[in-house]
Amino acid sequence: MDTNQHDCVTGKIIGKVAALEKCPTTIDNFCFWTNKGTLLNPFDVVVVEHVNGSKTYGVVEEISHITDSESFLAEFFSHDFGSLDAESNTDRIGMNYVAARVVGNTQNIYIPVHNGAKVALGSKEDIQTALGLNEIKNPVVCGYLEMYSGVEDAKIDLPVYVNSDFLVGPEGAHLNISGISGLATKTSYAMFLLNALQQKTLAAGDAKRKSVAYIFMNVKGRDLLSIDEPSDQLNNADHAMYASMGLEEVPFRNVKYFYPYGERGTTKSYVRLEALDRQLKSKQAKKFKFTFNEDNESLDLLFSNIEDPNQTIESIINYIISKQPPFNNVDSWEGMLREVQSMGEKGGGSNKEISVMSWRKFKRIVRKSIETEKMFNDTVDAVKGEVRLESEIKNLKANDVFVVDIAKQDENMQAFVFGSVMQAVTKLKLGEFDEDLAPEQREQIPDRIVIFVDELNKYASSEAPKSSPILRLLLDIAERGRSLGIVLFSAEQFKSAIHKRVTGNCSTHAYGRTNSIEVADKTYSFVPSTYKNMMTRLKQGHYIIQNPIFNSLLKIRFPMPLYKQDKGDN
Amino acid sequence: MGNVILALEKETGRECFDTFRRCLDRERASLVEYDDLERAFMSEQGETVRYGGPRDVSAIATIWQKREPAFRLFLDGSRRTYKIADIPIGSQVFPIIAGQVGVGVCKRENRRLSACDLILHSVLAFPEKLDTEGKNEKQHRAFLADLATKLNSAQSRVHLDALLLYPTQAKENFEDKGIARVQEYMIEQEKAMVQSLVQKSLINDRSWLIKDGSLEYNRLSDKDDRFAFSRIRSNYKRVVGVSKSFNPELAKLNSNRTAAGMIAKLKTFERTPVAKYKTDRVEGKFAVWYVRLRDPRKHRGPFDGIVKVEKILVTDHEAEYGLDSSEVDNISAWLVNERNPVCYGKDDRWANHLYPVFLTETFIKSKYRGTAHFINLF
Repeated sequence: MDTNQHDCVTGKIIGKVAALEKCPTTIDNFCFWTNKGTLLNPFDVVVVEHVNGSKTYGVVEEISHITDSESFLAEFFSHDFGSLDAESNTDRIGMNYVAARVVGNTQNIYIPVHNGAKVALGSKEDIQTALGLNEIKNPVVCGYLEMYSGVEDAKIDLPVYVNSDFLVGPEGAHLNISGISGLATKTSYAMFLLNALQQKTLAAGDAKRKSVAYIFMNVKGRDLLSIDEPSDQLNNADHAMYASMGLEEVPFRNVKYFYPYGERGTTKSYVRLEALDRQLKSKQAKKFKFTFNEDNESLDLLFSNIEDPNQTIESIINYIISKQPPFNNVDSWEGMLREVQSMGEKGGGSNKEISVMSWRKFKRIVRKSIETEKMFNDTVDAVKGEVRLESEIKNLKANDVFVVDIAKQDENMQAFVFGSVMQAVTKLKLGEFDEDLAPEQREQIPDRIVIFVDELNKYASSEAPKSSPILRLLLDIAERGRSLGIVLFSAEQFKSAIHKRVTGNCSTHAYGRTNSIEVADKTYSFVPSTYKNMMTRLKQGHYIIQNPIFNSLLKIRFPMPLYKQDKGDN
Repeated sequence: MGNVILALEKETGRECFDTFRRCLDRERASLVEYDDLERAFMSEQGETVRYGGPRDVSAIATIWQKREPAFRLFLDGSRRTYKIADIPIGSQVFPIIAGQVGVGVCKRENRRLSACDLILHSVLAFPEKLDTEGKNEKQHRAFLADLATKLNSAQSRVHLDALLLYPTQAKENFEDKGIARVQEYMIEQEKAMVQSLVQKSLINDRSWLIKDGSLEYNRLSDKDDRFAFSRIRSNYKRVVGVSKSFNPELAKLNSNRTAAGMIAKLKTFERTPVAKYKTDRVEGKFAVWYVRLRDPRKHRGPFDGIVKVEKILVTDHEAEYGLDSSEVDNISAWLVNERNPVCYGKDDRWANHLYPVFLTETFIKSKYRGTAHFINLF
């Protein structure tokens, strides 16, 4: 031990560093021995005394128990050659050794910690410094951390804050949540985080602060169709957690629901009638439609999952959008279908560039969607609560929450609506609507628009066709969104199945419970094996999160969401 | 600041020869280590009851298994010796032997073993002729104390806890003589440790001590020595010596008949009757018997799994009539209960080793300085 080492460690001493010939301490890692009864957990922070009176912080990664037993045979022999009743007066000498990863030093000294250095539990301040949780600017709570839960009288709870500049830009943007259905509670975590963000921006009242608006895609059942109603499922622990995190127990505010227009003025949705009535009365609910004249540019989104190697479909769409004859006189979906039909007929006005067969294929695909889906309608009656999504998105204001329900639609239609939303948001942020907007409306465009979508694998699968317009839009948002002010909060079961350029551009990652096949994928190669195994055992409401400002992966938990969760049968 | 050899040369006026410094202990302990004392058996009966043959203590062991074990302290001594220089005296050249001597005690509480006490000394053994003036033990001691003070003050690399003199008159190998002297020093430290444990009341009726190896301490020439047998005998009331290796041929029972056959035929958890003996070289009277800890079929030889147990006959009554047979049964049963776990794979003598003793040995060895480091301190 160095003579210039001081007793700088003040917490409970739990062990000492062991630097061995075969397992030396390094700049990044060290091991220490500890009593086998010390109940440490992965992710616990430890403090090590180091040179010049500095402290090195480490995060527990692996805990092993060893005895002096040379082999399994020695153990067999130690039980009277395999007698199950054999007892002994002495326990084998044994201890735990803990592998920890260095996350920082109070004086930025990164030479390896020395053999025999004392290892202690940290104080609240130590933990915050070690994990990069101290002095966080623009803090938004993202969970609750429990440290030393196994050590008697040493448990430390603290809320974890993330710098919103690293969550919704401009420093970093996009959040990806992964985990298996049901147990991972991905939607709940996203909603918890977004609620905290909305509370934060609503409370700030600061002109300098970036304004944020939200668009949620409801892809399953009635998950997000009552997010403005308070929850009645919070227990005492939840109340305590919200109190310690400084969050009000209020659901989302400024919420509007958009349902696809259904047959004869109804909605194509799983929403409960009483909820819909309430929302309609309070003018929160709208039925959205797509008109040919204004939405024909989104036609390509109907072909997201269809391979188009010769780009014939793309040519047809361009043909229609550019209003080439006979489409120059078309002003309705019905008219378009009629002209497509005629183009597909033998010699029927077809040009030489696009074959009749291609027009027929186009017709087959487009007819099914447009004829069966009532939202393709050319009349929008505002009095009846009918709207075009693009028009509504044009008027999106700070702190608005739009919920677009696509749960009851088929996969193609879901992609179409989601793609349309992304297109509209991109146009809004690129200023393409500026001519349509009054100066005061332009002023109101939020600095940041957060889009939340579950089941990302449907739109940004690593196996999606390269020509997929949805994938193109998502890649554009993932790569340019941070600077444009478009932020993608996405969730999926298996992160490994998502396009690498989408996940790679996310600044924040949340890992919920997953399975062992998933963690074996190279996507998780940076995660230590103990943490991987923990991912397969995470409880509901527990997440491992990664953000550039944190010095390490953090295991956090979060309370039940503040809105009414309607999980009933559809 | 110089080193020990330079200081020695200055003090004695003799120029030492540079020599290849090395550890003298064999790198691997002999697989079989036998004691070689010729014993005069006073009686075939060393216990109060006369048993004609082996006695099974498994039932007693089972009873004791439910209780707190009586053996709570485990003592072991060890030493490492090194040749560090040669010194000319007259026409002869003698080796200077350095040694690390360790005596450690571990205690067991709630089935867990922890360090209790440790003596770790660095010593140097010189030829007796180095003290040209000294005529008796007392004068030798004064000479060594003076030399030690000078050698320690002349350098700060190593603190010498004791200087020793080895006899030079015999024609034996001087290195062996030096090693033997370091060994004697170790035994003295073992006795000192036992005395200290007794004084601290750590050894008592509920806390017995197992000493690794024999209790047959060589007779001391100086009767005033603080470790004279008559002085320390009472310390050994609750101390049992357990030897892993022994020469079965030297174990004789009756009419000079060897007991090797009976020992080899011991069944698991059986003990031999106790013999009482004394030897010329060793002070006091002893009770000795053998206990089989493990099934004979699962070892290399017939004596694997058998330990030799010694106990000093402390009281006059014991010296006259032997140990109480129930006490012998209990001690044997306690030892049987110490059979697990084993240090198989760590030590070739695992079948005869007691795990707490093995740990104590490991503890002492872990405290030694490495050979390359130690031999270069001089």
